[in-house]
Amino acid sequence: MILKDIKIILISIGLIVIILFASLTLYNMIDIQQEKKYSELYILDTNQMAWDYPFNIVTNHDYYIYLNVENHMKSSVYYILYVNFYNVNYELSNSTIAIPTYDSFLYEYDFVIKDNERWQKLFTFSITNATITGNASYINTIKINNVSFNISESSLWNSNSNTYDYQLKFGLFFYNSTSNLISFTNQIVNLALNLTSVI
Amino acid sequence: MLNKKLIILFSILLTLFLFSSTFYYGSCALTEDNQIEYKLKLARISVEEAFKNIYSAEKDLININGLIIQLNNASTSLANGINAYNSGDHETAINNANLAILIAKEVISNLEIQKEKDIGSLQTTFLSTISLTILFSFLFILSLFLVWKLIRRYYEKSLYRTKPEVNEQ
Repeated sequence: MILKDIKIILISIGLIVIILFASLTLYNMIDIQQEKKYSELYILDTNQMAWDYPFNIVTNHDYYIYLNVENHMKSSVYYILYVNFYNVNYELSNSTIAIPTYDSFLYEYDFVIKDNERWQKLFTFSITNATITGNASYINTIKINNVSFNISESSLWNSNSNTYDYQLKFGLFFYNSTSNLISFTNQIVNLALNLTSVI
Repeated sequence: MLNKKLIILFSILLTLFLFSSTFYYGSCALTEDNQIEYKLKLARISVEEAFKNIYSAEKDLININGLIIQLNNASTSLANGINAYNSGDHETAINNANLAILIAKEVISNLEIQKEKDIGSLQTTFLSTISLTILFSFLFILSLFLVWKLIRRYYEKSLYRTKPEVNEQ
């Protein structure tokens, strides 16, 4: 009777070990599939903090921020980061156009990031040609990373906040290798700006 | 009278010449724009194709670390080209587009070399994993069997050692 019991115990140990190994392998497989896939886009100031962003801007002065993209998509991803410059009034009346699309942008970054890795770039911009007349401001040229772009943006004086409101908009897209299309990651960041004076 | 006719004819010819030259230069500018756009599109397709190859190689567990750095050089050149084109710098645009195409092609050819290198080592790793799994499984079952044998022998010995007792009742 005792011998039979020991036989059963040994077989049980064997089965438990097999089940344990199999379940660990299965858990890892299921865990990988269930984990959420996402991309992150955020901006930081020059001290790598999230509070001292440039807001009050003047012409012919360089401003800096850090652009950050994180890949948590479980594989390498080819990202395209589009940059555009708008006035706030324009966006309010054309909310759909204000979201950067493939063919409406000013500046772009193309880069590949491996899974769980971060891409960081120093973003420099300056307003090189602007005028303020009466209660309206006009921006004609913006320099991004030493490349000049002719734009035509104007903003009316906002008497509530005492500002000429503009914004830099960053939209993160990725190349979908299965559909061969560039898709939006739903990651968008706005940097609010106020043109204070023209030098 | 003849002079007047000649002047009119000359004026018509001059107007035609001016129109045609304007049209010619306009079409040249348009063609140049189209050429750059075409080059940039070609560069984008090349970079995307290189990425597609790298993406599938990554799934096949090929080491792509060095290739991603190289691909990033191609994608940066592509972005620089597009940005230059948007800012009106056509020469930089076309140079960067050509550079992006060149690097993307290099990435694809280097990937093939890397694949050949890694497939051999991957096959070795796979075979060694399989053989080790079989070996450890066999050892595990053998150890259980030996334990079972030892316990059985010990039990049988202890059974022989026990003295028979007569039940008096």
